[in-house]
Amino acid sequence: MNIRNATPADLMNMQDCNLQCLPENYQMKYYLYHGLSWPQLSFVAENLDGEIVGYVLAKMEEDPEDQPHGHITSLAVKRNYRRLGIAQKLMDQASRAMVESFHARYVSLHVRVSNRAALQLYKKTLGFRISETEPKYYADGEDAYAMKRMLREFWDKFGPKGVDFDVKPAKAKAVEP
Amino acid sequence: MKGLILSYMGKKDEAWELVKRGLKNNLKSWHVFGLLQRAERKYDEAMKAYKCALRFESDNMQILRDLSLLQVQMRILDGYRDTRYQLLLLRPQQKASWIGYAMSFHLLGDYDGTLAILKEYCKTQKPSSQYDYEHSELLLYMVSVMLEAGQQQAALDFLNEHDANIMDRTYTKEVRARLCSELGRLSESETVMRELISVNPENRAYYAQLEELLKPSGPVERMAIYADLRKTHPRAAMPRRLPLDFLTGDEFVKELDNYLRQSFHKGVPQLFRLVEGLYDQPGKADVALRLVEGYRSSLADCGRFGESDPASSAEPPSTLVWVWYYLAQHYSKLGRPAEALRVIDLAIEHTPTLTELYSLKGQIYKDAGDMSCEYLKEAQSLDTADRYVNSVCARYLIQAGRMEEAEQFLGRFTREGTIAGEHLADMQCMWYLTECAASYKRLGQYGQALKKCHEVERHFNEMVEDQFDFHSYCLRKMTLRAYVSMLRLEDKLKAHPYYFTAARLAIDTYLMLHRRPLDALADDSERQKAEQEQAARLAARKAHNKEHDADSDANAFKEEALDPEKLARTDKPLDQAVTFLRPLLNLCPDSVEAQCLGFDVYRARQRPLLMLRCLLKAKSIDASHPWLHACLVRFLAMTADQQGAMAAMEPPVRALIVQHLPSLFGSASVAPKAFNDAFLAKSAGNFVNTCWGLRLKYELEGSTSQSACLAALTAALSAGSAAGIERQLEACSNAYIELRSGDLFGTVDADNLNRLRTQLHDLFPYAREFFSPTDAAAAAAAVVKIQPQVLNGETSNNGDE
Repeated sequence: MNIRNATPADLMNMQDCNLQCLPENYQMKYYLYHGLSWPQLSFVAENLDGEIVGYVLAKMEEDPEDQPHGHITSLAVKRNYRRLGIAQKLMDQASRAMVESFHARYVSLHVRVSNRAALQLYKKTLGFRISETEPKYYADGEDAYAMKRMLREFWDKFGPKGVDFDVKPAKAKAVEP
Repeated sequence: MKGLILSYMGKKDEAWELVKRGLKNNLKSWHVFGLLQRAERKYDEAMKAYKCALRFESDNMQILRDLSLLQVQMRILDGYRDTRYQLLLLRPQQKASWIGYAMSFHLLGDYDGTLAILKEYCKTQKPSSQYDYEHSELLLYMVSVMLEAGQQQAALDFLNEHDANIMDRTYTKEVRARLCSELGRLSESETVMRELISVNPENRAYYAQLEELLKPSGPVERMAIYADLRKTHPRAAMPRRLPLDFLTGDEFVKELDNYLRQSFHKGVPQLFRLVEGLYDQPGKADVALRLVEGYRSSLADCGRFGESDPASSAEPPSTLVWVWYYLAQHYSKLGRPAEALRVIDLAIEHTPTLTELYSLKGQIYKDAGDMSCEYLKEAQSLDTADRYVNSVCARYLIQAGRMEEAEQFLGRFTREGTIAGEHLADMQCMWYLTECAASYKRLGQYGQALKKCHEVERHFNEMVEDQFDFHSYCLRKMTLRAYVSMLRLEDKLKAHPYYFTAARLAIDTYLMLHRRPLDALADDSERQKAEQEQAARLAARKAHNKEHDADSDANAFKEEALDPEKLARTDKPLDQAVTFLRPLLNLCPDSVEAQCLGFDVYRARQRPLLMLRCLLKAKSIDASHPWLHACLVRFLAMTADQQGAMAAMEPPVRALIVQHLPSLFGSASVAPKAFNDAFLAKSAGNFVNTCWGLRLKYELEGSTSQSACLAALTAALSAGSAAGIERQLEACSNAYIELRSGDLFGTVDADNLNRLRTQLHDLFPYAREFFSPTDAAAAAAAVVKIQPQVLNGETSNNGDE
């Protein structure tokens, strides 16, 4: 399975994969928005026929409260391509890119409380922690766990030299100019 | 102004009224006029309006900016450059002015101009800190321009000079590796490639580039590279899989054995698909089969991969299930469904809760010609939370022509209160639209098929529209490499396979409707049904809109709703066909099918020169393609018609045609029949080509040749059973369907049809297309019995592990 950075040419096929795999879907323009705002962050998994069998659509939080952090908008792997570690590989590449290009300190995502398989991946394999529950987050009314993964190990390997991982808390808000 | 506001509130007619009045009274309203035109996508009109406005206010930033956006959207690049220059003169202190101006040079291919402007701009800039993403992106954009310009040394120097400010290390490494390689600094390039592999060991391109650098002399040296990489990256999948492509003999057997054992042990469902590519290489399919059948018997006997393996290496029971799973896929691919089914049934008996097994069983039946879909539905019922299984199930149902059932299944994952199909069309769901189009066409519901094709076309047009906002956005965000990449993609958006599929379906349908227009008054019941469906959709949409979209985008560009009846009864089918055809001819230069489609369309429009152009292009791509042969024969038949078609041509046209005959046919005077007979003779053993040849034979010689054609077809089928015809189900099905409908050899009598059907049934015992009427009825009844259980029963076995 070929894992590589997503280009604008991949966005339509990512949309196709998303429509086949997940009930949360987006218009093409939203994919363009991701690809043209944070081009380094989205990745695809491609089989030998060039079919997109998995993808991660990622961004940086537009208005971070404290530290810069990334966010996973959408992640999916076609069901019959499991057991190949694709989701983990996609997530690790996205996290690395968030640290490298945007100095992210952590990455967040939302997951349905009933999605046991995804929870297993995020908690056990990738080291995410639940930070809170957001009631009725999904369109069908289901609750979501908001999860968070600190990117310390990525920072040590790929982060900028001479920049502190721990961001000092902001002092009293400066007066707007 | 009032008009502009009204237009955004959706009151278009009032808006236009006011604006036109405004124009009479105040010539400055041209800008507003332009904005309204642009909102209705009348770009030429909008541009004229802006230019008018500029005559009165040549320094109005807003108008200039709006004009520049239109110019780049429509790729009027000279104009774009000129407008951006004016913007720069007016606001030299704004970053976007400089970047936009530089970009306009890049789009015109003037790399030196681009770089000069940007370097000038950079002189005045100090990044706010060492790490400034936007500045980093600008630097990398300049590098990318240098690369395009072939200025490799300059690019490398620039990278080194600005290294401290560049944040995207991965792109930097990729560029550096490429540049060092091109400049002959091979060991430096190798170091960087290996670093890249460490960052992402699953990127196939990195390995290809590494091999190019190291230039191994043969499989042994190649294998050494990968053995080495496996040590440094023990958990990476790519270095374990790639050697299977180039190894042969005992080395190959050993490697494949290891690879398969590891994967079976882990339980990788897609193992067959990962290995399938090797089957094209001689002998490798047999090696795989031998190994896997070996595991199967050994696992069944003693629970280990090999009899001689140590007792401690006992495999869990699931391993055997995956071995069976692999074998079932293997046999199905080789056209041996009976064996495939035997094996998958063993697996199902062993582990009846595993969803993949039912999906595969359904697929085996489908590939063998049985679209009853029971097993896909069963698979879906085992994992109701998974949309992918649902999508596959729905796809099969659509392919089987069971549209309502498909809607039911799809509805389990689409928004409540909407009709599933409508929702998916709104969400630009291409797989759904193209599958439906194909299915409706097969069912003869041409209006519905065309509606889906037009919906695909509209979505592609929508995506071309989408880029508009990004022309200013990307200049601010500085993600310029991605922006240029997006522009180039948009230039050839319709080269995408989905567009090709939809276009081809639309063109074929329009050609059919041109030959046999639908009777305006016929099919009353179908019309009523369609009208009812349309009404139901509109009602559901209204209700949905009331609830959810109170503030829906009233300013959104609204196109006329697509009416299947109108589409199917259009009086200009060929014009419509050409609309779909043009992007294919312009954007798919390596597609012989596009050229053949073009030939068919131009033949219907009686444009001999355009036909000729398509033939010449197609021949240069793939001279042996059977469809091209058909086009050639038909062209030749036209040139042989001296009194009719040839006489109707203008003399210069006729002369040009005659001039090209030798290059197309080998000599200036070939008889169509002889040309086709030669092709038929060459095609012995190739069923698809033989079918084409026989079709043309009938076209040329008429009903007197029917018995000869039928005999030849029968012979081809008999001979084919020795030559791998069991993998040609689709070709056989298509041939049989056309025989039945009279489109292949004219009206064929029942006895002959039945004889061929029986012959096909013997070759493909599972294919329902070839069942006798009694068998077909029995099969349909059997399906009905299973259905209530599967659809109504809630999942009793929810777990899948």
